[in-house]
Amino acid sequence: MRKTAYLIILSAVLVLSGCSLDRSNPLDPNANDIQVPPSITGLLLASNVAGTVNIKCDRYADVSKYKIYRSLSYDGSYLMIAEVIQPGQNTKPEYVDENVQPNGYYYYKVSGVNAQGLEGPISPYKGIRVKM
Amino acid sequence: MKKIFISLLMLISAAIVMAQDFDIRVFADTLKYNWNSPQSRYEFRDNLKIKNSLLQKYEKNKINIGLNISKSAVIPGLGHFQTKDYLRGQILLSTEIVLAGTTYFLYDKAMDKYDQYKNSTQIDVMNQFYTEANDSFKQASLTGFLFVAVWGYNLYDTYVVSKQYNDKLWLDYVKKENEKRIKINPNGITIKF
Repeated sequence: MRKTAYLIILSAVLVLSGCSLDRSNPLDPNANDIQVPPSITGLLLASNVAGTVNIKCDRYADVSKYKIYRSLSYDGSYLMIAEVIQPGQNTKPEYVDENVQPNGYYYYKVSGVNAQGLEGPISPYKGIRVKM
Repeated sequence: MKKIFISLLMLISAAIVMAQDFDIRVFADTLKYNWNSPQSRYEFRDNLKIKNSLLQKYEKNKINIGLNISKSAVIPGLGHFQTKDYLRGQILLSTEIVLAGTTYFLYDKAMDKYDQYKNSTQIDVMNQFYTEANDSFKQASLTGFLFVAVWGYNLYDTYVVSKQYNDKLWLDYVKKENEKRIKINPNGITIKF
């Protein structure tokens, strides 16, 4: 009886250790030779003109475009509002958000996408009050 | 021709020498089955008749172990219900239903997350969906393994329980026969007090 119990436990361990799903996503860096885009830094927000928000971040060479996310609260759900194509050298990626209410609070995040289409980690949020 | 004739002659001679005498007394020895008297012979015959009738009854009512195991293979616990072991049957059946349901639920959840993983393009989301899918898949594998293990045990236990049921059935018939107070046989009527 004890032998049977050991056999069942051993089989269960083997089943558990042997079972895992394939990493079949073609963009998965764990299964393919793909570099993960870097986490975007240097996120800058400015609202110098009433009813607009100017968003800038650092430029990364191995990024082909940048995705910009916006939310009404810092811990709310962030929706992608724009994709910014990689600008020329020595120029920072920039986007002007005009779809905001004056005097409203908005929170932004940004991420980089590489040439294969893999999106990197999303940056920490930054918030701003829109100029009236 | 001469050689064949001599060989045949030798064979016949050997057969005559080796042959034993047929002894009618040995053949008709009534003591060889411990029949010391006609009375004991009648009793033996009566017992044989009773056992034969019990055997017929037993054969009619006993459980076919192979068929019972097949029933348990299709519906776990059904073999136990046939042997009137309802509690064990209910436990096995409900355990298998719960395990099968849990396995299906976890596998479905794993595949749902896996589809989301395959369609994701953002690294954090991709890793999160993969981890969730893999965790659910492993849990489904474990419950699936347990389902198969319980199913196997159910077959083994059906064999044991069916055998016990048949043994008990035979003993019950013998016990009932022995408990009969009045017996009618060719020797007359026997009454037990």
